[in-house]
Amino acid sequence: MSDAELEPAPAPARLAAPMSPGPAGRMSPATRLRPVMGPIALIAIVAFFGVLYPDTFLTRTNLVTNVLEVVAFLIVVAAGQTAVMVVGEFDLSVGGVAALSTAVTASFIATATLDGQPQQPGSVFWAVVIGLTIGVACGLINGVLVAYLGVLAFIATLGMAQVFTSLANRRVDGQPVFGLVEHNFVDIARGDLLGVSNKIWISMMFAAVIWLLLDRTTFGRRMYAVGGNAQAAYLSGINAKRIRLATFAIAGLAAALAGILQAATTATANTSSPQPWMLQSIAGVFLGMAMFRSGRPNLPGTVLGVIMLRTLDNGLNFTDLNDYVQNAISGAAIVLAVLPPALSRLRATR
Amino acid sequence: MLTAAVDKSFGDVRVLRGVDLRVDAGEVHALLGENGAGKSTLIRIVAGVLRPDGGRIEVGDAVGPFGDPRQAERNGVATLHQQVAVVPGLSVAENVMLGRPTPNRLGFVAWKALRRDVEAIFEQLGYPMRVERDAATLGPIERTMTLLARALSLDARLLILDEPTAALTDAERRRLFAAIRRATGLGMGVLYVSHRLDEVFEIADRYTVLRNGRVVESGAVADTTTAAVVTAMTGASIEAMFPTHRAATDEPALTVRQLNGRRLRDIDLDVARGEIVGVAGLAGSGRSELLRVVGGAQRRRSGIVTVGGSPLVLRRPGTAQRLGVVMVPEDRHRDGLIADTAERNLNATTIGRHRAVGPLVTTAGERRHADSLWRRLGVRGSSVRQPVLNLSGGNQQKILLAKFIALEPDVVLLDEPTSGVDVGTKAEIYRIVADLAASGAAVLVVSSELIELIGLCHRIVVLYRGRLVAEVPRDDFDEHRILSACFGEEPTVVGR
Repeated sequence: MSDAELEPAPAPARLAAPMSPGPAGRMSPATRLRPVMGPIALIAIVAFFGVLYPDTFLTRTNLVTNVLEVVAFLIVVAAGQTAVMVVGEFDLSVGGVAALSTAVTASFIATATLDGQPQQPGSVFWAVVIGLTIGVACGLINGVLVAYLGVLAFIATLGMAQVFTSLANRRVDGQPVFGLVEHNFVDIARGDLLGVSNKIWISMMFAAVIWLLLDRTTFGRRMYAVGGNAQAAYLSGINAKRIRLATFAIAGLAAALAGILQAATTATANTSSPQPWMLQSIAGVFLGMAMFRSGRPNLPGTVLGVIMLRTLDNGLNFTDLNDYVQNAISGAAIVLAVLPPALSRLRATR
Repeated sequence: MLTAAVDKSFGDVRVLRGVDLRVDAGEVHALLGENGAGKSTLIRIVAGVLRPDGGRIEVGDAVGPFGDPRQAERNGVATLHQQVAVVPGLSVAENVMLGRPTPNRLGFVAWKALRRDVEAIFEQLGYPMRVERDAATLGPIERTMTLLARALSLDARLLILDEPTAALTDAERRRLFAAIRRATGLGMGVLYVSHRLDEVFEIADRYTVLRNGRVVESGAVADTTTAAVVTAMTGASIEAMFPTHRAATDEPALTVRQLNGRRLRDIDLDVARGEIVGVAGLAGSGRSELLRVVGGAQRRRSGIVTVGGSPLVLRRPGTAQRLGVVMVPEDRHRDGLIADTAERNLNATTIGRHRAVGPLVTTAGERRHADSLWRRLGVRGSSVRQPVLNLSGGNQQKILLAKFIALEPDVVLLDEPTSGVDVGTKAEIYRIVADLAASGAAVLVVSSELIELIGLCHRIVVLYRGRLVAEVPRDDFDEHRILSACFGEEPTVVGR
């Protein structure tokens, strides 16, 4: 090893975060073990509840229907959230975007008007296309605010979340839209192929596309560059604004797709049911950052992260614990999971 | 005031080996050495940030090593870091007293007493300051002075200054030096770390040179010369640092006509293929802005820039790069490096180049590209997969240069290409720049170190308040005349 490496340069705190600790070339055992910690933790969760409730938790019905099929929407939302977090921003409006897209799609294909009068439902295909387009448009609004007008993502997307949710409630008068059964809308999610539910196929395909985008395309390379240091990326010739804008559009599309999938699953469009997605998707990305790719947002980590969170929630459902206590436990679990990498970063500076 | 004798290893790498250092009360002691010599490790140990493996530290009667920075501070060690930090939103007076009880009556701040106390401290430094100002409004020199006042109010016996002039103009630097002199007059000992040897000779009384974790030389500044210190730091002489001079062509590459913009007034400039032109001037003279405008990173108000005869559209750095112009920014942490692996950094300018089908990248192509740049610039590290921020400053600078060189530019704009880089790496960077010119590129270099421009350039232009006030060919290089032009004292254009 040469002299040049002896003194790891002290980087300003802003830049120092996502790097693996320790002198170059040698990794601490904790760093080397990190990639397998996630899967081990997932197996541990399954084993723990499996031993406690072998006849209810550890069944194919429960694990597929209550874990994987439910997590399918979340994987789609979280994939979009991952993209936004790769460029160093975040999107707090995913719930609002999903609510608005779903409400609009539903109102086109409902078999009854808001007053309860029967109506001729419109084309499912065009209703879905319009819903997804609205998702992209919402994302573009967020993107323009953040990338071109310089509003902090935190407040821009938080404010727009309220706008989108309120518009959605205005569209459906704050009521759930039931009976979306016409024209096989529900088959989008409920049908199956080779014994696997359509919504799992769709979410896996969407996740695969985002993974390919982030990990294997020039666009993904530019996204990671912008997230690593936006100013440096810009001076390297990357159009950082346009990259950020496109990324928010992807998050909007993802939120709309997830909302429509959920509406198709329950045959109901409900503006309140996507609201928890904001926290869950961000938590999933953070868990993924703790597990893989030395602390940068990454898609396999996100997928594993949301599955872990959902498995834990599902397992807790079988316990006698009070609902609020269950929520407190899963919240604490998120914080606990991101603690080891945080601590190892802290140690690296000593 | 300070005696330190320490050893320190990271893993199995010994960074400091039996280092002895003594700083006396009332003296400014310069700590010199290349990056990786152990300077930062040593000052971090003294400041209580790192624990030494063995040895002892004494500050006055207090015996260390100190467990953490607060304990070090209680025992009289104050540290001013490169990135000077004050708390915005609090007044200057509160910043000076931060972390200690401020004068108060029943819990309410006694502003009058506080102002009186803190103004008295600034008085001692010979730097009058309105202490009720919000610290957020302070400029770099005022922030530095605030922290200096804080050190004084803490009765610090040892003050560590780490590159304190990096963000200061020359006039501000003089005021800082005057304040440092006042502080040492009060019996404070100062440990001064800087890469700029001219400053060291201006302010320091004694010096210690570290090389590879050992003290190789120590003595009074008055008894040595720049050349001798450089030799001690590197083991090589100063003349050997610059590559042999090669003649430029007279084919025009870059032409700037009547360029106006922020801090720029009617700039006319020509650079030929193969020519290295230095841009001298004080901080704030417009030297960085000139590069930024030509590089597409800053708007111009009017004027024409042509490269190889065709006019440039300067919308973004990306558009300038497509036309063969690259700008290597000054601050590699803020503007240069992406917090990722060296490989990703080396590929940052050429992302579109390594593709399999459509937008899909070929990772093998990227790896080959990164490896070849890594070898070409002689980066020292384990592999391109390592995080770029784990590399030393000099190697980070090479990565920064490499990603722009990868574009095979016709015009290269370098802003302080050797700032915060050790002497050995400086020599390597000079060779890289000379090779670029020899292969036909036109090079424009901004540097605060005149000796660097004199050693490297074919021609030096001087900017003063946004105007190009002097143009000096290599045969007429004269340090004093160029310097006085920088201060606006000799507004003559020397013929070409």
